[in-house]
Amino acid sequence: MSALANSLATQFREHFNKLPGADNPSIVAMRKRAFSHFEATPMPTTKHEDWKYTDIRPLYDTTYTALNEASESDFEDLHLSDLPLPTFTPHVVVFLDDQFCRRLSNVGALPKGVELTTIKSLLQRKSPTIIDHMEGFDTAFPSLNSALLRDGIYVDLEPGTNMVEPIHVVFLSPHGKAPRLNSARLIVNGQNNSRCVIVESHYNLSGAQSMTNALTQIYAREGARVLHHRIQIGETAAHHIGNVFATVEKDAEVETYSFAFGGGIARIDVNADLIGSGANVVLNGLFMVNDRQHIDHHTRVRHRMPHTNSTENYKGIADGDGRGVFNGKILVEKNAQKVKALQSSRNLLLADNAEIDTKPELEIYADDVSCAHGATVGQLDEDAFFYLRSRGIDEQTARSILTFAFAAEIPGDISIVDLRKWLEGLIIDRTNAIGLNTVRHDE
Amino acid sequence: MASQPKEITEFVTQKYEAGFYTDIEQDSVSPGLNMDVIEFISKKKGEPQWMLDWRLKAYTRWTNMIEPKWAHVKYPPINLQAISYYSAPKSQEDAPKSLDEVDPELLKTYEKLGIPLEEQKMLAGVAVDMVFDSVSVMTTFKEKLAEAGVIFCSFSEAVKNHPELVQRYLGSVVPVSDNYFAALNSAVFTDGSFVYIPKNIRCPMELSTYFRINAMNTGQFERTLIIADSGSHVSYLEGCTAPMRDENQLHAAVVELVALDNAEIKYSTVQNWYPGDENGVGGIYNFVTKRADCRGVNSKVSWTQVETGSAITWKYPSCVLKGNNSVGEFYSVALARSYQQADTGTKMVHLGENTRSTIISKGISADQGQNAYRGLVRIAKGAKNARNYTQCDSLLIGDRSGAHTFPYVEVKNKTAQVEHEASTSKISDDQLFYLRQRGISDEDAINMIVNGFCREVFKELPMEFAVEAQKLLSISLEGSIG
Amino acid sequence: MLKINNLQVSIADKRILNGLNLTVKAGEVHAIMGPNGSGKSTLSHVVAGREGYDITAGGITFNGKNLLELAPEERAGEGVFLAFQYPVEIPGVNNVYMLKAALNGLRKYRGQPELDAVDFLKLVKAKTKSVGIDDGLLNRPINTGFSGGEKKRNEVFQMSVLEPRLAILDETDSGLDIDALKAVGDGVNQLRNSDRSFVIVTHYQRLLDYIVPDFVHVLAGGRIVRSGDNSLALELEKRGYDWLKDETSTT
Repeated sequence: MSALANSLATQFREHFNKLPGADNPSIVAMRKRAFSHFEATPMPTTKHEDWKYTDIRPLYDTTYTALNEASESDFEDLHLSDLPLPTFTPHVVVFLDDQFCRRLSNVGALPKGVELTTIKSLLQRKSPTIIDHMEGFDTAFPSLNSALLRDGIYVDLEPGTNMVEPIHVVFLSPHGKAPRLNSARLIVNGQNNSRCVIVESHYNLSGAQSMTNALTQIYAREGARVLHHRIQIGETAAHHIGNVFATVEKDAEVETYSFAFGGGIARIDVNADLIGSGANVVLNGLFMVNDRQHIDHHTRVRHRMPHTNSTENYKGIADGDGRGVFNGKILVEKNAQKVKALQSSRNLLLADNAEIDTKPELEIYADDVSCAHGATVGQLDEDAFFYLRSRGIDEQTARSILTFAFAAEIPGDISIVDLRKWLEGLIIDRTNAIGLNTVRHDE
Repeated sequence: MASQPKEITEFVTQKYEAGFYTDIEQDSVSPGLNMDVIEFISKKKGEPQWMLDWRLKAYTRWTNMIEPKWAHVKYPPINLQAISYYSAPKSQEDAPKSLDEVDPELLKTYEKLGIPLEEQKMLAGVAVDMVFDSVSVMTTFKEKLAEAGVIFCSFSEAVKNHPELVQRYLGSVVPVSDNYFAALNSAVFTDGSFVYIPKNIRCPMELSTYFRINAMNTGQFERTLIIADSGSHVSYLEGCTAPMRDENQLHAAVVELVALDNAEIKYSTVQNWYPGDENGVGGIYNFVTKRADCRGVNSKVSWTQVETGSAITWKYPSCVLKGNNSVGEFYSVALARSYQQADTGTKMVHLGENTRSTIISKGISADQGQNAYRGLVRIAKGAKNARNYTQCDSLLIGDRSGAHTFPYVEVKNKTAQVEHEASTSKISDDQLFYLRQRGISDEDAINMIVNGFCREVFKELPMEFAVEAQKLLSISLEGSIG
Repeated sequence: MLKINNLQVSIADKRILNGLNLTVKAGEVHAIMGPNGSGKSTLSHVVAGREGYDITAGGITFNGKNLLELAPEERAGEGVFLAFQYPVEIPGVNNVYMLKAALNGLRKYRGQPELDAVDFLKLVKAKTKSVGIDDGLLNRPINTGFSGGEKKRNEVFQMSVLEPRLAILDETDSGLDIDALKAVGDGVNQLRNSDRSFVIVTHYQRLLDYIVPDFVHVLAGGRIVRSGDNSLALELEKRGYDWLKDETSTT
């Protein structure tokens, strides 16, 4: 057994009867089953088709502290304004090492029908709603998240509710002494014809050695619309495993953005199940890797009913010794006729030691469909590059401008203006955009 | 309304045209695989010791390997002990010296297949090597080729007459332990074609091999090796058929191509192995390893395949682009209908600088047919300025068919440009109505659209093969129109 | 020749044609005009046998035969030709090759011997000249990469080769410049004779400057609300369609 599984087993045995909901036998049993599933699922290696390009042995070779309580006093000096996080909404919910942090959170008045509940309180309240979301995963990490779960946020929208202001959920992994494993959890339940905007940020404080195992579940019931943004920023010492599951019912829509900026090993799976006709999903993604970072985006869209649509637009930039992976699968099930699915994976490879691997897949079992994908790996457009330089822009600036333009398409459609600007700023920083700000001011 | 499209079931299913059986005496070894069988094959062919050693080495490797399971195909386990590994027409014992001496039954077989040897000899100037079950029956035009210094003979002859070439190149592209089926082939292959084009020679005619599996319970394990020496050029055609049988038959061939500096090889295949009946019973398991080594600078290998047959096709004609400026091409039409399953594609491995590859794949799925494109484009770290363009399109006919695309793109050099495009759709109602409005029947209209869909690939085939391929596709598609 | 009697057509429960009557005799040219959404294209498609329309009442006969019982290619065999509003692109299928298959299909349907390649090419050459289509388009895949004008000229060219008894031109004038419009008009006029009829479906009067119709009908709300001679077309051009709507709603 791996060092990770060994150490987690010890910690789980020690702590499972002290975790939230420990007085509820069904929750305890659920945790045990979930942990067994994690243990029984073999560690993915590069021999597994789904992990072909991502070697996560470094994660499994490390011993992480998972369940000990952190003390609030450790973070007394921590202020949100000191952190490089975007501000764009009065509703901010902050978790520090799995714990809800009341001091840093700030939730304004919510419209009627919108409820934000910590998962800890739901577990303690023996809420049957929460139990439904804990099991049935086919991979190891979501099960591990359920087994070790201490807190998170549950967003519930009653039918017809329209929550215009975004809800920002921030998961921080602060500096600790030993390597930490955090389990972040977000559940969004958009009931019939409701609307909401969610932003989920994972931020790893500088230098902290950590592993985040995040799980997001989005339910868009009939006619609902959920707009979801996921931002992950990490240093090379921070590893990140993220799973997003979106279930989209009849005439509902989920649009999700996944931004991944660095991390030692970051693996983000976005799964969308279209289970009612008229369901629509839009998946956008951008990754930028540098140094020795490794980011692997997997998407899986399952068209299970006729008249469902999906659009995917992923971009990646690999610089330094970084490696970027995109693996997107579109599955159209039997009898899911009149499906439209589009997928695009475009990538820039900028450095001698960088690498891009992309694997756009189609698996189609119905005939009346229109599916297409495209993938490119290349460099900046030479004509555009020459054009800019002929206008007197130096090589480095021209490169930055074009790299920025390539990446900025992804956040370009984000309707939260302050969030979009913040993301663009982040992209500019990462493209080493000397003089780029001036250029943008001139616009 | 009267103009509703005819349902699939209204059409009579087209029978497999090449599915006849030739009644000639066979000289076979009893089913089973062990070292004795390999020694038997080797002795039967009068092989030198090095050849036997090579086979036995492959056999030992193979016994430690397991059958690959990653392909998108389903089939019951193959009992390799139930297969006969050597089958030859009896009259082969005293091999024919000219066409007149060839068993007339055999010649009739080829006639039925539409390969009138004499006619081809006269009109097309195609030199034909025929592989019947396991042995090469006859190679035409040997003399004319010999004048140009071209060696075109059966693999067995090559082992006898050109051992230095065989020893130098055999297994240098597909190593014995490359994969399960290649290892099996290396141990038991019985015959195949051998081609050597000397330096700066443009082969004066198209070379061609027709493969046919005839006997029951035989596997066919042919081995083809083509070496294009510096500055040479050759176009090679390969056709395959098999009779209708209820049981599945295994075809596990290995094809190795070597292109040295400035050499060019064009390899075209029209594969029409028996696909099984309309209930999915019988048919050939076509598990083939084809690989080209573009070893020399400016070398070029172009694979073109039209795959309409076989119950299962598992085949990835590939190019290893080692030489600087070398070029690899793959043009493919694959049809899967009834219960056929195809998992086919290519690998383009870019190692040299300025290497270029093009992949055009057209998959057609009808009835319950499952068609998967699986392709790898790998740009190695040292492959400066490599370019790849891939286009793979799938056409679906009937709501029980499936089309799958599994492309792998791995880029380790920042000067590379790789572009992949894929689409999947059914024949558009607009196109169909347009043609029918002009007075063309729906079946003809579908054929027309399908052939148009495949045109980019067909135009890569030599003329007479292109015509055959179109005809084959139309025949294969009949009765699957929804 | 063509008799449409009380035709009622719906798409997905939405009534498009609502009791349409039309009689076209041999040698006549009828123009059908009407505002957008009046059912003009539906009429063309239903006559040619396009799927997806529910015919809830009425009938169409062509020279005494019930057209509604025939497949599109059989209707073509009877001599019905539709020049499409949006000629479809068919990649990889050669224009002339398709035309040969079509012509021989029609000849076979009519019990005539098929044309061999030589005679067919002679015919094509002659028609190319008379229609004035660019030779280069003939051997390209059908409509693939053609400009809007080229597509429409190609429709007229196909019509001239197939020599239908009834040609329906579905908004053939849309998107054409003056030169192309004139070329289309010339092509049609050359084909006019005492046996051949035309139904010209159009939104604007301008094509009728080149092809003068014998009858003009106004289609609105799924039925013909007014018929007349060419002067009706000129009146529509001047006054638009709105006044007709007012008039029909009061009747």
